[in-house]
Amino acid sequence: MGARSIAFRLTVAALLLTGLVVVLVALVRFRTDGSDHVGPGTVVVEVDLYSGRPNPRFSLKPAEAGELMDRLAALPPTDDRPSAPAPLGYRGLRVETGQPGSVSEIQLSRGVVTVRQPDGVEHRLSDPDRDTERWLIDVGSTHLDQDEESFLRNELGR
Amino acid sequence: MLRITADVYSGQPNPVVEIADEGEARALLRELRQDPTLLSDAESTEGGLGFRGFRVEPLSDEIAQDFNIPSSLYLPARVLTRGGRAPEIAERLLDLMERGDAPALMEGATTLDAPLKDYLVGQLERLGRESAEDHAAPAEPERETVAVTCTIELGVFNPGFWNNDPNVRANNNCYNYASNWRTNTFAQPGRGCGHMYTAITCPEVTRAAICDGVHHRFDCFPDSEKPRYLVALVVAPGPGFRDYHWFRKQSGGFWGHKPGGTAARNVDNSGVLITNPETANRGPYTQFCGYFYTCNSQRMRIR
Repeated sequence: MGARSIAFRLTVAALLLTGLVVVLVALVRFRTDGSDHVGPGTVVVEVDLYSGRPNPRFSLKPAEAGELMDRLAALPPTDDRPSAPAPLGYRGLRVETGQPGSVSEIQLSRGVVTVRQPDGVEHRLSDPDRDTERWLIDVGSTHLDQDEESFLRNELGR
Repeated sequence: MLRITADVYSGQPNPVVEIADEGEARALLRELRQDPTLLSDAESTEGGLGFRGFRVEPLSDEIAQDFNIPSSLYLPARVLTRGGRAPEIAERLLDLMERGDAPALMEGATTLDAPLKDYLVGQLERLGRESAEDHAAPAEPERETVAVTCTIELGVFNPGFWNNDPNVRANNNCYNYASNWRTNTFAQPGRGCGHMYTAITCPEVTRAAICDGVHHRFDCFPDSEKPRYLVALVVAPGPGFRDYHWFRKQSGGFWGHKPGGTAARNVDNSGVLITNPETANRGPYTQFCGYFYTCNSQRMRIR
């Protein structure tokens, strides 16, 4: 890979991380309302698990949203796409933001974090050990029943 | 903005209207452009008598240029349809035509009145499915049944209907798909009849679905309950992961399904086309509860 190409990739990565930090800082400034309604300023995590039943969902507190920001900002960009999860069973986590005009959705699946903008543009970050995914499950554990929590910890290898 | 012609007649002039609302015109063109394979460049000579399709003509070069379309587009319908979202788009075109205006410079042009629209909608509905006989196989568990041969409907696999709109995809689940009814409520067995399931077990989810109006297989529905789909129920019994899932038999010899808010598809957890839900890779949904029929009144009841 030539020097010019490396410089271009570093510039893109820097821009992506800057944009992500700006967006998530804006989110942290809004209080969550403690419900799972994705209203303005709320950050809701959905565990993409079921087919028939509704998926478990929980809101992040401001401090938790802030820590999510820190964790995502520390992840390196990647060109890898997550391998498609099997359709039946645990498929990953989906973080929805209620902030208009910003990141619309963040997906965590199989070691890749996909940040999706409202215009459809995607940026991907590498989370190879799935630590961020595991941490979010920990954060949401009080919103999961014992069976779900046990199942998810097993799925994520802990 | 747009002129829409329903290619219906042989002798008299076809119904034609103009759509002046730019927003509606652009939304329609956006849909048509999403899947160009649905379109053909010209009317086919093989359409035969009756409803053949729609011609859509932009009336300004600006809108034609914005969507990079030639002077007109043709959406084949009915027997010539190219599947996918074509039937849904065709129905939308009929709605637009009913509300559209007669072309100002076409004296004596026929527009689309309500009786003709109803007739054409009926033609579209007949297109997407076929009726078939569902025979009791010797290996079936013994049950009390009304008859051993029931007539069912097998719909064309149309994943775009469920997948293309993110809100539709997110808010309709396996039960919506099996019933072929989009409620946008993530429908739950029994909620429509007022007695939703209280446990994730084969007997309890079955009870709830029957409360909604589902029948056990070989307990036939009459023709008045068309469409009558053959569906299969499976359960993930736990521990840890408890859920239910439905499949629906399609025309073409395979089964379709929609895992929760994800895309409708016809492959299993191994990526293999589902020809038998009993033997497909169902992941944690290890219990096969049985086969059932959905019907028109049941699907309108689900919530």
